[in-house]
Amino acid sequence: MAQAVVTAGSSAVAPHGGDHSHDTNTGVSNSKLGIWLFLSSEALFFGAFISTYFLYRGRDAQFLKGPTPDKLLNIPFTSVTSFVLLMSSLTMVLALAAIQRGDHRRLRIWLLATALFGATFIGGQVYEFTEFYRKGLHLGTNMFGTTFFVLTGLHGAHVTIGIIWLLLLWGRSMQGRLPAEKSEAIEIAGLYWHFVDVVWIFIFTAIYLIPTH
Amino acid sequence: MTEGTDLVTLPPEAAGGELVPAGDHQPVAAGEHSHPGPRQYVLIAVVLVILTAVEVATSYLEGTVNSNLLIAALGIMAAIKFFLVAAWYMHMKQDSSMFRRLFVSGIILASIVYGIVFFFFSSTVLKS
Amino acid sequence: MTTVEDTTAIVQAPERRVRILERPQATTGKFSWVTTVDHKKIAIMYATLALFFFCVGGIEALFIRLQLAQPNGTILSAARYNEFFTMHGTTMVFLLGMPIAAAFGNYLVPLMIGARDVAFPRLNMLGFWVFAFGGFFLYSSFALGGAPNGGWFGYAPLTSTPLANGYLPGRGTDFWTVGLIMLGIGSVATAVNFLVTILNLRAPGMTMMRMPVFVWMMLVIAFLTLFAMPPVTAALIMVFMDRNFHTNFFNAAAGGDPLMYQNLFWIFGHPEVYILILPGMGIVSEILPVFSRKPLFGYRVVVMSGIAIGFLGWGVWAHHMFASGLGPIAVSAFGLSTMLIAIPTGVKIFNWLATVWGGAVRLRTPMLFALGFIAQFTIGGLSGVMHSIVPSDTQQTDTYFVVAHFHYVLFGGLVFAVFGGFYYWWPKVFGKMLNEKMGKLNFWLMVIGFNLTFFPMHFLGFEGQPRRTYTYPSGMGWDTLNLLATIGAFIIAMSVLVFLVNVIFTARRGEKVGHDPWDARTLEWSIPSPPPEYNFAVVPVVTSLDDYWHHKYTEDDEGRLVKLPTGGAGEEEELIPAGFDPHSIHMPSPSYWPLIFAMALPIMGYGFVFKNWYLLAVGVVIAFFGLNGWAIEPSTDPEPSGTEAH
Repeated sequence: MAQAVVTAGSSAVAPHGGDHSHDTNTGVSNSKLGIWLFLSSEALFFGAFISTYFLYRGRDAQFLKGPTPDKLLNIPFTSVTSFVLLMSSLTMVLALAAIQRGDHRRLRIWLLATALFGATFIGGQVYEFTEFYRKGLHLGTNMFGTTFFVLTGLHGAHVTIGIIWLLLLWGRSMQGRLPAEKSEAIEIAGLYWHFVDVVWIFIFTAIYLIPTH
Repeated sequence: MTEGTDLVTLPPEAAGGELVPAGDHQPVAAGEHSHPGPRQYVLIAVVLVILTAVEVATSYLEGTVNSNLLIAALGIMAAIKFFLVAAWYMHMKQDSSMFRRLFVSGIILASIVYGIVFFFFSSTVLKS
Repeated sequence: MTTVEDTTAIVQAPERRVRILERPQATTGKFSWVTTVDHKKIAIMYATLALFFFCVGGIEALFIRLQLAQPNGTILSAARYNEFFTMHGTTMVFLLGMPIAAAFGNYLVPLMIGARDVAFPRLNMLGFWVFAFGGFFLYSSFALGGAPNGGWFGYAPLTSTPLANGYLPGRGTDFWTVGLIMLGIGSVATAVNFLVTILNLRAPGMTMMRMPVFVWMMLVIAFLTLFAMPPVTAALIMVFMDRNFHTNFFNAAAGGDPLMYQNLFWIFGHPEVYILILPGMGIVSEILPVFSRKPLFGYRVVVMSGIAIGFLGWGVWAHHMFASGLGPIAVSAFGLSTMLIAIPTGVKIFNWLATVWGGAVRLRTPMLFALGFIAQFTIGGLSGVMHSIVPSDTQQTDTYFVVAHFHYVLFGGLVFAVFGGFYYWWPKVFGKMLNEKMGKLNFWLMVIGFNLTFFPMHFLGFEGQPRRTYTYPSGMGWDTLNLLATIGAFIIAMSVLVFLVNVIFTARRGEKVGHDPWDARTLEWSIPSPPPEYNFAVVPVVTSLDDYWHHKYTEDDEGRLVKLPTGGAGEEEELIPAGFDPHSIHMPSPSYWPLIFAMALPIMGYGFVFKNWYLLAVGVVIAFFGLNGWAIEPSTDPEPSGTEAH
């Protein structure tokens, strides 16, 4: 859509009309600025749990013993679920591209695909949690149990909220309430979703891949 | 010199309207600069998958290679994947630099603050 | 194949209205306050509730002082005492300090930058309701098994040992962790709102360096809040998990470390004190120039110092932990960084003094409170610098010296600034001036009461009286000073009563004033008092710092003020241009959804505290229901009917 290009410093008039762009001092939309700010605060949130995980790593040998990562972690399995989550970022950005070019059918397909991949990832997490529980790792068994379940559990909660969010957007599109002018709603959901994926990139590396020395 | 009447007689467009007053602002361009297309997105996805495979393979080298080297390699790969998703899927590269600056500030702050905790306090936490 | 035609057909589908939740329309009347998204109304609600909690926290303090007035006091049992000092601190920080910043920020920031409202009006409404429900949630604990009793900072392992057989049995601590997480959600939402508002919604010509200092301070604390709430949320989650699910975050027997809690808490806690004080500094920076009839000395430097304090505040947190065995390197580093942060603070104080120096000073009530701030905050800052000397702090920590320090900066500082702000902006908000005689009485009683209460505590601390203990034996030499402190506390109470009487008196028979009774400098004084819903009939075009002042005055060759013919005080009728139609401005419409979402939070909260998972599920469903309805609803009702914005 064509926008009047305004040179900085000129006292131009705000374009009226039905679209969502407000004239803002910085030139970026309020909602996008808002979500980026929120995501940067989430970096502090997950950072706290990830650094706690690192600080407490390896303490179980001296203290409570209990099942340790090397006995429990199933790298191939989690690699597959991580791959699925990574692909969900692809489908998410494809959904955004679709609505931006007015292709609503594709939008809904990619939204559902993203939600499905996310749900698959969560399914994998649930399987993993029950497996570990079966093998004797509970929240309070040792430091690994505590830090692992809480960190990945909080991440999983974030993914689940994202899945519900995507399904609600899908529903809105089905009802015809998501025209191309409202594509920013998809963009914002997408930013949240990609961030949650990025957090997993770090969790996967930290918990599963980094060697236990 | 100030006319003194600025507050009262402005062009009519400035009266009424949105929360955000009209004036010397940049309107938000819905398309911004050219965004990547589906082809580029898939390409990035392929790179991500390859990187993940390399990461997993690298983790199996545990025991055969210096663990600090492994950690560094894994950290770098994770950082690259993060950069790819942030820059291309989250459009950080194409959109206003303000997003990048804000987001990176949060990350830098987190790194510094938790890094300090790790350096200064790991001796109390890890002493036994 | 999807075609563009599909889209057009979809767009034209009418919005279905659900009868029960038909969008509220009224912007006047009592019920409109419940659904309002108007930043000014929301600000008034924030301030009213914050003032209420100030009184509640104050009553808790009076009980504490009654208990400590004499050795071996019997007013409060040890258990009760623990609840009272915990709730006093928690209330003053989270239910007074942060909401009052939101109150002043909400009212003033849009006005000072020439905007009609904040960037996200409904999110703004959410912030208030989360505060209201969170406060209610916290205080309901008194009736539901006992209030929080682990101190406002809730150190592990005192708070984190399991619920059933740990050090703090009962649900009090769970109310505390869950309640604070809830309040944190509101704070982060409000922080995002202020950030986007200040960055994006300034009037034409209002560059960053033409914004009032108060707006700059709100910008800085919004960033601080955004980044400081997550670490404490993490810490609170860890405590809750340790208590209720036997995790080992702070369980030393399992390899956990209670010091980790202190780290995470103070990574939040230190920026938090700057979040508390910077708005007060902003208020003072607005009052001093007006009552000295001089611009703020060194505007740029004051702004930069505020930013510097914001940055440096992240590097000092472990000065709250000097006595916890950190080791010489850590304490030296943090001692140094703490000394450093005194520099930008001191710079501000000198700039304020230079503002007043040589000015045509009018000692009206707002000015008295602002000057009181400078004196008392300086004293508090000096005792703070004494804390930064690590060996010295080893004696001072956990004694009444610390209590003296933080009450000087937070009460002698922030609270004085807040009262100054009340007296300064009351005419703008309500169109009436608070009574000046009562104001002066309010001030003097408060100064005398405050200093009588807290100055002796410096000595009590040096003489070894520990904090957070419900009584002390006789023969320690502490009796007289404690009694004096208690007397002082009741004088403070009297001063607050005078304020409340002033408020009621002014509401009934207060002197009505025009739009600019103080002959002030910033944009909010250029519009009617009280402001119309849309704030500015005509959006101002800003050409300088203190733009409104420069519309009123210029200077002649000898630097004397010369009044300009138009834009001066008193011409009320000319504020709104002739032929202006208020209906041409479409303000964001009221809404129910933020209230619904906010209501879900205490339901979830009770679910967590009582481990009632059905309740939690119900809360989650309501939350999603509220969020979804909110997302679908347009911010401005396209088909308004009934009472409209005037």
